[in-house]
Amino acid sequence: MEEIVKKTKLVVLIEDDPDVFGVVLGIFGVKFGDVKVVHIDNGSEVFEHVSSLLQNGASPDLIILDLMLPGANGFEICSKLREKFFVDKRKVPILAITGYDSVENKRKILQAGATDYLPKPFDIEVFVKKIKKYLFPEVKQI
Amino acid sequence: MTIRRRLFISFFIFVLFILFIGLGTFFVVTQSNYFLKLALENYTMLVNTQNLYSALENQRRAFYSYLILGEETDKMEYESLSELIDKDIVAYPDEEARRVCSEMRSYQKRMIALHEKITRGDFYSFLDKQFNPISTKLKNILMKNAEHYKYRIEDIKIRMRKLCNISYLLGVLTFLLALFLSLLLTVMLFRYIAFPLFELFKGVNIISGGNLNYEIPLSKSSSDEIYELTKAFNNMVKEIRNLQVQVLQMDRMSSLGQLAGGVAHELNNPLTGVIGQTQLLLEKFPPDSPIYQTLKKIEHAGQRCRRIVRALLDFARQKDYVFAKQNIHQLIDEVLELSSSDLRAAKVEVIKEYDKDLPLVNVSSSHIQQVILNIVTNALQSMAPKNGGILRIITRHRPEIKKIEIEFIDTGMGIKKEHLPHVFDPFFTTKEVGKGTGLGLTVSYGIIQKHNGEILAYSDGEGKGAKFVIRLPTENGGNS
Repeated sequence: MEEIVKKTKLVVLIEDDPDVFGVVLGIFGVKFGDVKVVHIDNGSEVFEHVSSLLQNGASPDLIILDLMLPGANGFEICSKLREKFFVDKRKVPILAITGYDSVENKRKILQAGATDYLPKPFDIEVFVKKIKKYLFPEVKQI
Repeated sequence: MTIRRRLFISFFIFVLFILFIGLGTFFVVTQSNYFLKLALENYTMLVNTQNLYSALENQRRAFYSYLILGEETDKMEYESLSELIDKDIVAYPDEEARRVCSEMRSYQKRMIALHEKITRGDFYSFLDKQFNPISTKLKNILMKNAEHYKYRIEDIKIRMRKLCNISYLLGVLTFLLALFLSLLLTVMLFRYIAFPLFELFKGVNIISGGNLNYEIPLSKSSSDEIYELTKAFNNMVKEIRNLQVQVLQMDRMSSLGQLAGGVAHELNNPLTGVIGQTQLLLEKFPPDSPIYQTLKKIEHAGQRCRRIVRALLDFARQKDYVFAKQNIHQLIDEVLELSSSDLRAAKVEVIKEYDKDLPLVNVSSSHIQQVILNIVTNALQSMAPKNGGILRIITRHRPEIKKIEIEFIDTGMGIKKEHLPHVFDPFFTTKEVGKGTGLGLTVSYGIIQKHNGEILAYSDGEGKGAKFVIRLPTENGGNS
């Protein structure tokens, strides 16, 4: 499933829950109209989608990854993405989002290669700040 | 009085009793023995005296016959009897009798030697003037002695009869005393041992039958070993009951924790939708529009749900514990300082009774402070309907269980008896909707569990205040 907003920046959203991806896609639609969002709602299809994107010459600028996905574990996906596709953390940041907030999960996902961590449910304001930070680091954060 | 003391006194009384019987018997036996000996002596003397008397009578008759008739047979009888008298009188105890007898015998001998040489007239005059008076004197002495011995024997008889009466009396007294003592002992055995033991036995049966609420009645008057035993047994049952409640609670809390944790996780995703979508919509309406207000209410409700889920997860998972040796008094004081304005507003007076020898304990200070704050807040709210009150905070070191104890006693609305087992359950609250999440004590419970401690709630009922007790181990505090 794909939804293309505008082709300047590319964000890959890996999230299965319609409540959550509905909000995330909504935020992107309202706040970041010119950002292209590729939405993957199935853990087992992540690598397939990412490699086809890369083959088409489109490299994502940010990956938003849910930690609990049907068919795959977010921690494994994260470490494999880092291993196979995006070795440089600064070039492609990964923002992990989870409903299972704990110090242990945070430590584990950061160790697996995630750049940042955001527990659900979140306020739009906080989420937008993080997106801005990773997508437009050159713009000074207020 | 203790049973040991009672047994000692009973033993002492029995020893006295036996001593009494022994002394009585000894007295009766020695007295009878003495009287018997005395009676026998007197009787022998009486017989001797009577024998001597009759021998003297016969000898005197033979003596006269021989002197008057001159028959040889009379002389022989006289001589044989004289021999007997001479022999007996030597052993006779009366000295006067011996002297008179020997005087009489010398007269007799002299008359036998002279009886053929002197005239019959001289002979009679001699008999009348010299022999007869002395013979009569001896007879009188012996008669008097016989009377004396008879009198002595009679006297001994009277005394022995008295002794007999005394021994009868002693016998009856001994019997009555033995009966009384046995009755007393039986009554004591039943009253102080058998009945309380039966009560204890009955109670133990009831309790082992599963009724841990049964309290074995204590006898009011006594404070002996069985009383102490019953008291100790009641205490033991109380401890078991508390332990059972705790174990049940732990078990329930553990499964509730798991359930709550699972539900909370599942709620986070839809909550992201509710809060996120609402916040997105909010941006589309001006703050003064009615839709904006409604949306704000939805967002507010969503945020409340988020806090509840947060608390549930905190309870289920226990977050960010940092264990370090802490001074509990300092932690309490900080919480009280934080709540000081609320305390003043609620007109609650805090009385601190700190144990100055309280050791440091290994705790996660922020978590323990959260527990203290929860309890203080609950106390404040429960005292509000009474327009204030007193919150007593007592700390003590209990080395026997290797724990410290913190007690919070308030004078608030208390807890209903049927609510007491549920105060730590998630979402259990008696507060108005929106005033409490029903998770404060649940989270507190989880935190104290994490410290290997105990948290207990007590109340005598509605309106009678409540008491919360926290126990924290002084050794191996956190399971970090």
